[in-house]
Amino acid sequence: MLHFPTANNKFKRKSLHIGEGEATLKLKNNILALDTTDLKILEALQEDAKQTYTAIGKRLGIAHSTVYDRIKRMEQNGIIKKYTALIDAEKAGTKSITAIMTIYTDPKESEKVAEKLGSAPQVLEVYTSLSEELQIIAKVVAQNQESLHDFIANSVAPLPGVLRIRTSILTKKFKETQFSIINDPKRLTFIKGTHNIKEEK
Amino acid sequence: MSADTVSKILRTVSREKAFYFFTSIGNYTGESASSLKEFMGKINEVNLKSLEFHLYRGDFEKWISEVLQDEELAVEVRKLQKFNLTGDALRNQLYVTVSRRLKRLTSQPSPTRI
Repeated sequence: MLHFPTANNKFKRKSLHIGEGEATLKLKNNILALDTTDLKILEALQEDAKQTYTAIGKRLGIAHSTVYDRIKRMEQNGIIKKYTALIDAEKAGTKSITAIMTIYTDPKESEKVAEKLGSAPQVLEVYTSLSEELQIIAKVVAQNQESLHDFIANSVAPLPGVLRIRTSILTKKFKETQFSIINDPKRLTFIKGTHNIKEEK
Repeated sequence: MSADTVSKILRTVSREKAFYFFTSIGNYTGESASSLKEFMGKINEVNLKSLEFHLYRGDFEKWISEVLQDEELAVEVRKLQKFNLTGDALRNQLYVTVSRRLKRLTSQPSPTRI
Protein backbone atom coordinates (compact mmCIF):
# COMPACT_ATOMS: atom_id res chain seq x y z
CA MET A 1 0.00 0.00 0.00
CA LEU A 2 1.28 3.44 -0.92
CA HIS A 3 1.28 6.10 1.79
CA PHE A 4 1.07 9.83 1.41
CA PRO A 5 1.42 12.34 4.22
CA THR A 6 -1.64 14.54 4.48
CA ALA A 7 -1.58 18.18 5.42
CA ASN A 8 -5.02 18.01 6.92
CA ASN A 9 -4.71 17.26 10.65
CA LYS A 10 -8.41 17.04 11.27
CA PHE A 11 -8.38 13.64 9.54
CA LYS A 12 -5.89 12.22 11.99
CA ARG A 13 -6.79 8.68 13.11
CA LYS A 14 -10.02 8.64 11.13
CA SER A 15 -11.14 6.45 8.27
CA LEU A 16 -12.91 7.74 5.24
CA HIS A 17 -15.19 5.37 3.44
CA ILE A 18 -16.10 6.34 -0.02
CA GLY A 19 -18.82 3.94 -0.92
CA GLU A 20 -17.77 0.66 -2.45
CA GLY A 21 -16.30 -2.16 -0.38
CA GLU A 22 -12.66 -2.08 -1.39
CA ALA A 23 -12.66 1.60 -2.30
CA THR A 24 -11.57 2.88 1.06
CA LEU A 25 -9.36 5.85 1.90
CA LYS A 26 -7.89 5.10 5.29
CA LEU A 27 -6.31 7.75 7.44
CA LYS A 28 -4.05 6.46 10.16
CA ASN A 29 -1.54 8.60 12.07
CA ASN A 30 -1.93 11.36 9.53
CA ILE A 31 -0.98 9.01 6.69
CA LEU A 32 -3.40 8.40 3.88
CA ALA A 33 -3.48 4.90 2.45
CA LEU A 34 -4.68 4.30 -1.08
CA ASP A 35 -5.98 1.04 -2.47
CA THR A 36 -5.28 -0.48 -5.88
CA THR A 37 -8.24 1.24 -7.53
CA ASP A 38 -7.08 4.67 -6.36
CA LEU A 39 -3.58 3.95 -7.63
CA LYS A 40 -4.89 2.82 -10.99
CA ILE A 41 -6.96 5.99 -11.28
CA LEU A 42 -3.87 8.03 -10.47
CA GLU A 43 -1.86 6.08 -13.04
CA ALA A 44 -4.53 6.78 -15.65
CA LEU A 45 -4.58 10.48 -14.80
CA GLN A 46 -0.80 10.72 -14.90
CA GLU A 47 -0.82 9.24 -18.38
CA ASP A 48 -3.54 11.63 -19.55
CA ALA A 49 -5.23 14.01 -17.12
CA LYS A 50 -7.70 15.16 -19.79
CA GLN A 51 -9.47 11.83 -20.18
CA THR A 52 -13.06 11.59 -18.95
CA TYR A 53 -14.31 9.78 -15.84
CA THR A 54 -16.18 7.46 -18.17
CA ALA A 55 -13.01 6.58 -20.10
CA ILE A 56 -11.13 5.86 -16.88
CA GLY A 57 -14.05 3.85 -15.51
CA LYS A 58 -14.29 1.81 -18.71
CA ARG A 59 -10.57 1.08 -18.63
CA LEU A 60 -10.65 -0.03 -14.99
CA GLY A 61 -14.04 -1.76 -15.14
CA ILE A 62 -15.69 0.51 -12.57
CA ALA A 63 -18.51 3.04 -12.67
CA HIS A 64 -17.70 6.60 -13.74
CA SER A 65 -19.34 7.84 -10.52
CA THR A 66 -16.79 5.82 -8.53
CA VAL A 67 -13.97 7.39 -10.53
CA TYR A 68 -15.50 10.83 -9.87
CA ASP A 69 -15.85 10.22 -6.12
CA ARG A 70 -12.33 8.93 -5.71
CA ILE A 71 -10.76 11.72 -7.74
CA LYS A 72 -12.67 14.34 -5.76
CA ARG A 73 -11.55 12.82 -2.47
CA MET A 74 -7.95 12.63 -3.61
CA GLU A 75 -8.16 16.29 -4.68
CA GLN A 76 -9.66 17.30 -1.34
CA ASN A 77 -6.93 15.44 0.54
CA GLY A 78 -4.16 17.02 -1.45
CA ILE A 79 -3.01 13.80 -3.10
CA ILE A 80 -3.84 15.29 -6.47
CA LYS A 81 -2.23 18.67 -6.11
CA LYS A 82 -3.05 20.17 -9.50
CA TYR A 83 -3.53 19.49 -13.19
CA THR A 84 -0.92 21.12 -15.36
CA ALA A 85 0.59 21.09 -18.85
CA LEU A 86 4.06 19.76 -19.64
CA ILE A 87 5.61 22.16 -22.10
CA ASP A 88 8.47 21.45 -24.48
CA ALA A 89 10.38 24.70 -24.03
CA GLU A 90 12.43 24.13 -27.18
CA LYS A 91 9.36 23.69 -29.38
CA ALA A 92 7.77 26.68 -27.69
CA GLY A 93 10.72 28.72 -28.96
CA THR A 94 12.23 29.46 -25.56
CA LYS A 95 16.00 29.53 -25.77
CA SER A 96 17.59 28.87 -22.43
CA ILE A 97 20.20 26.79 -20.66
CA THR A 98 19.64 24.65 -17.62
CA ALA A 99 22.26 23.97 -14.98
CA ILE A 100 22.57 22.00 -11.78
CA MET A 101 24.26 23.89 -8.96
CA THR A 102 25.79 22.10 -6.01
CA ILE A 103 26.20 24.61 -3.22
CA TYR A 104 28.37 23.67 -0.25
CA THR A 105 27.16 25.53 2.82
CA ASP A 106 27.79 26.16 6.45
CA PRO A 107 25.26 23.82 8.14
CA LYS A 108 23.97 26.68 10.29
CA GLU A 109 22.99 28.68 7.23
CA SER A 110 21.86 25.99 4.82
CA GLU A 111 18.12 26.35 5.45
CA LYS A 112 18.28 30.08 4.84
CA VAL A 113 20.36 29.58 1.68
CA ALA A 114 17.86 27.03 0.38
CA GLU A 115 14.92 29.32 1.15
CA LYS A 116 16.59 32.28 -0.51
CA LEU A 117 17.36 30.21 -3.59
CA GLY A 118 13.78 29.00 -3.69
CA SER A 119 12.54 32.56 -3.94
CA ALA A 120 14.53 33.27 -7.12
CA PRO A 121 12.38 32.87 -10.25
CA GLN A 122 15.22 31.32 -12.26
CA VAL A 123 15.60 28.49 -9.74
CA LEU A 124 13.30 25.62 -10.67
CA GLU A 125 14.06 23.14 -7.91
CA VAL A 126 15.98 23.22 -4.62
CA TYR A 127 16.99 20.27 -2.47
CA THR A 128 19.25 19.65 0.49
CA SER A 129 21.26 16.47 0.32
CA LEU A 130 23.02 14.10 2.65
CA SER A 131 26.70 13.56 1.99
CA GLU A 132 30.00 14.18 3.76
CA GLU A 133 29.38 17.92 3.52
CA LEU A 134 26.03 19.61 3.61
CA GLN A 135 25.02 20.45 0.09
CA ILE A 136 22.17 22.21 -1.57
CA ILE A 137 21.33 21.05 -5.06
CA ALA A 138 19.44 23.48 -7.26
CA LYS A 139 18.24 23.38 -10.83
CA VAL A 140 18.46 26.75 -12.49
CA VAL A 141 17.58 28.20 -15.90
CA ALA A 142 19.19 31.16 -17.60
CA GLN A 143 19.17 32.79 -21.01
CA ASN A 144 22.81 31.95 -21.63
CA GLN A 145 26.06 31.13 -19.83
CA GLU A 146 26.76 34.77 -19.10
CA SER A 147 23.46 35.40 -17.37
CA LEU A 148 23.86 32.12 -15.49
CA HIS A 149 27.25 33.27 -14.23
CA ASP A 150 25.89 36.72 -13.31
CA PHE A 151 23.09 35.15 -11.29
CA ILE A 152 25.47 32.86 -9.40
CA ALA A 153 28.13 35.52 -8.85
CA ASN A 154 25.73 38.28 -7.80
CA SER A 155 22.91 36.40 -6.10
CA VAL A 156 24.18 33.05 -4.86
CA ALA A 157 27.88 33.40 -3.94
CA PRO A 158 27.21 36.46 -1.69
CA LEU A 159 24.62 34.62 0.43
CA PRO A 160 25.91 34.18 4.00
CA GLY A 161 26.99 30.58 4.59
CA VAL A 162 27.85 29.72 0.98
CA LEU A 163 31.28 28.05 1.05
CA ARG A 164 31.72 27.13 -2.62
CA ILE A 165 29.68 26.26 -5.67
CA ARG A 166 29.99 23.67 -8.43
CA THR A 167 27.86 24.13 -11.51
CA SER A 168 27.17 21.74 -14.37
CA ILE A 169 25.44 23.02 -17.47
CA LEU A 170 23.12 20.36 -18.85
CA THR A 171 23.71 19.59 -22.50
CA LYS A 172 21.26 16.87 -23.50
CA LYS A 173 18.08 15.63 -21.90
CA PHE A 174 17.46 11.87 -22.08
CA LYS A 175 14.49 11.72 -19.73
CA GLU A 176 12.34 13.98 -17.64
CA THR A 177 9.32 12.84 -15.68
CA GLN A 178 7.47 13.67 -12.50
CA PHE A 179 7.18 11.24 -9.60
CA SER A 180 4.27 9.03 -10.44
CA ILE A 181 2.48 5.93 -9.40
CA ILE A 182 4.01 4.39 -12.50
CA ASN A 183 7.62 4.88 -11.38
CA ASP A 184 7.21 4.39 -7.63
CA PRO A 185 9.87 1.73 -6.89
CA LYS A 186 7.73 0.04 -4.24
CA ARG A 187 4.97 -0.71 -6.68
CA LEU A 188 6.88 -1.46 -9.83
CA THR A 189 6.95 -4.88 -11.46
CA PHE A 190 8.44 -5.63 -14.84
CA ILE A 191 6.65 -7.84 -17.30
CA LYS A 192 8.44 -8.44 -20.59
CA GLY A 193 10.01 -5.01 -20.69
CA THR A 194 6.90 -3.16 -19.55
CA HIS A 195 5.85 -2.10 -16.09
CA ASN A 196 2.67 -2.71 -14.14
CA ILE A 197 1.30 -1.76 -10.78
CA LYS A 198 1.44 -4.71 -8.39
CA GLU A 199 -1.95 -6.06 -7.43
CA GLU A 200 -2.64 -6.01 -3.69
CA LYS A 201 -3.44 -9.29 -2.05
CA MET B 1 43.92 62.86 -6.05
CA SER B 2 41.67 64.00 -3.24
CA ALA B 3 41.64 62.25 0.12
CA ASP B 4 37.97 61.47 -0.41
CA THR B 5 38.72 59.68 -3.67
CA VAL B 6 41.54 57.71 -2.06
CA SER B 7 39.44 56.64 0.90
CA LYS B 8 36.62 55.68 -1.46
CA ILE B 9 38.97 53.40 -3.41
CA LEU B 10 40.41 51.89 -0.24
CA ARG B 11 37.07 51.36 1.55
CA THR B 12 35.63 47.97 2.43
CA VAL B 13 32.53 47.29 0.36
CA SER B 14 29.43 45.34 1.34
CA ARG B 15 29.14 41.59 0.90
CA GLU B 16 26.93 42.10 -2.16
CA LYS B 17 29.57 44.21 -3.88
CA ALA B 18 32.59 42.06 -3.00
CA PHE B 19 34.59 40.27 -5.69
CA TYR B 20 33.86 36.52 -5.80
CA PHE B 21 36.53 34.30 -7.32
CA PHE B 22 35.32 31.62 -9.76
CA THR B 23 37.36 29.13 -11.79
CA SER B 24 34.81 28.86 -14.59
CA ILE B 25 31.14 29.66 -15.27
CA GLY B 26 29.25 29.04 -12.03
CA ASN B 27 32.16 27.45 -10.15
CA TYR B 28 32.81 29.55 -7.07
CA THR B 29 36.05 28.88 -5.18
CA GLY B 30 34.83 30.16 -1.83
CA GLU B 31 37.28 33.08 -1.93
CA SER B 32 36.15 36.69 -2.03
CA ALA B 33 37.57 40.17 -1.53
CA SER B 34 35.80 43.20 -0.08
CA SER B 35 38.56 45.77 -0.46
CA LEU B 36 41.56 46.50 -2.63
CA LYS B 37 43.89 45.36 0.13
CA GLU B 38 42.03 42.09 0.51
CA PHE B 39 41.96 41.68 -3.26
CA MET B 40 45.74 42.01 -3.39
CA GLY B 41 46.10 39.30 -0.74
CA LYS B 42 43.79 36.94 -2.59
CA ILE B 43 45.84 37.22 -5.79
CA ASN B 44 48.50 35.15 -4.04
CA GLU B 45 46.04 32.65 -2.62
CA VAL B 46 43.44 31.74 -5.22
CA ASN B 47 43.69 29.02 -7.84
CA LEU B 48 45.59 30.18 -10.95
CA LYS B 49 42.65 29.08 -13.09
CA SER B 50 40.56 31.66 -11.31
CA LEU B 51 42.97 34.50 -12.13
CA GLU B 52 43.06 33.44 -15.79
CA PHE B 53 39.27 33.10 -15.92
CA HIS B 54 38.57 36.56 -14.53
CA LEU B 55 41.39 38.49 -16.21
CA TYR B 56 40.44 37.48 -19.74
CA ARG B 57 36.72 38.02 -19.13
CA GLY B 58 37.49 41.53 -17.92
CA ASP B 59 35.93 40.85 -14.50
CA PHE B 60 38.80 42.35 -12.47
CA GLU B 61 38.85 45.65 -14.36
CA LYS B 62 35.05 45.84 -14.20
CA TRP B 63 34.98 45.41 -10.42
CA ILE B 64 37.88 47.80 -9.88
CA SER B 65 36.22 50.40 -12.08
CA GLU B 66 32.56 50.00 -11.11
CA VAL B 67 32.77 49.07 -7.45
CA LEU B 68 36.07 50.51 -6.20
CA GLN B 69 35.85 53.33 -8.75
CA ASP B 70 39.57 53.30 -9.48
CA GLU B 71 39.77 53.96 -13.21
CA GLU B 72 43.55 54.20 -13.21
CA LEU B 73 44.04 50.70 -11.80
CA ALA B 74 41.28 49.33 -14.05
CA VAL B 75 43.22 50.53 -17.09
CA GLU B 76 46.46 48.98 -15.77
CA VAL B 77 44.75 45.63 -15.21
CA ARG B 78 43.13 45.73 -18.66
CA LYS B 79 46.57 46.19 -20.20
CA LEU B 80 47.69 42.85 -18.74
CA GLN B 81 45.31 41.03 -21.08
CA LYS B 82 47.49 41.99 -24.04
CA PHE B 83 50.47 40.01 -22.76
CA ASN B 84 48.59 36.68 -22.83
CA LEU B 85 50.03 35.79 -19.45
CA THR B 86 49.11 32.55 -17.76
CA GLY B 87 50.08 30.68 -14.58
CA ASP B 88 52.51 32.18 -12.10
CA ALA B 89 53.60 34.88 -14.55
CA LEU B 90 50.05 36.19 -14.54
CA ARG B 91 49.79 35.94 -10.75
CA ASN B 92 53.07 37.82 -10.28
CA GLN B 93 52.27 40.55 -12.79
CA LEU B 94 48.78 41.10 -11.40
CA TYR B 95 50.13 41.22 -7.86
CA VAL B 96 52.81 43.77 -8.82
CA THR B 97 50.25 45.95 -10.60
CA VAL B 98 47.80 45.97 -7.70
CA SER B 99 50.39 46.28 -4.93
CA ARG B 100 52.13 49.18 -6.70
CA ARG B 101 48.81 51.01 -6.94
CA LEU B 102 47.92 50.24 -3.33
CA LYS B 103 51.30 51.57 -2.18
CA ARG B 104 50.78 54.80 -4.11
CA LEU B 105 47.31 55.27 -2.66
CA THR B 106 48.32 54.56 0.92
CA SER B 107 51.37 56.83 0.74
CA GLN B 108 49.30 59.84 -0.38
CA PRO B 109 49.80 62.73 2.06
CA SER B 110 46.87 63.43 4.36
CA PRO B 111 45.01 66.66 3.68
CA THR B 112 46.32 69.61 5.71
CA ARG B 113 43.88 70.80 8.34
CA ILE B 114 43.62 74.51 8.98
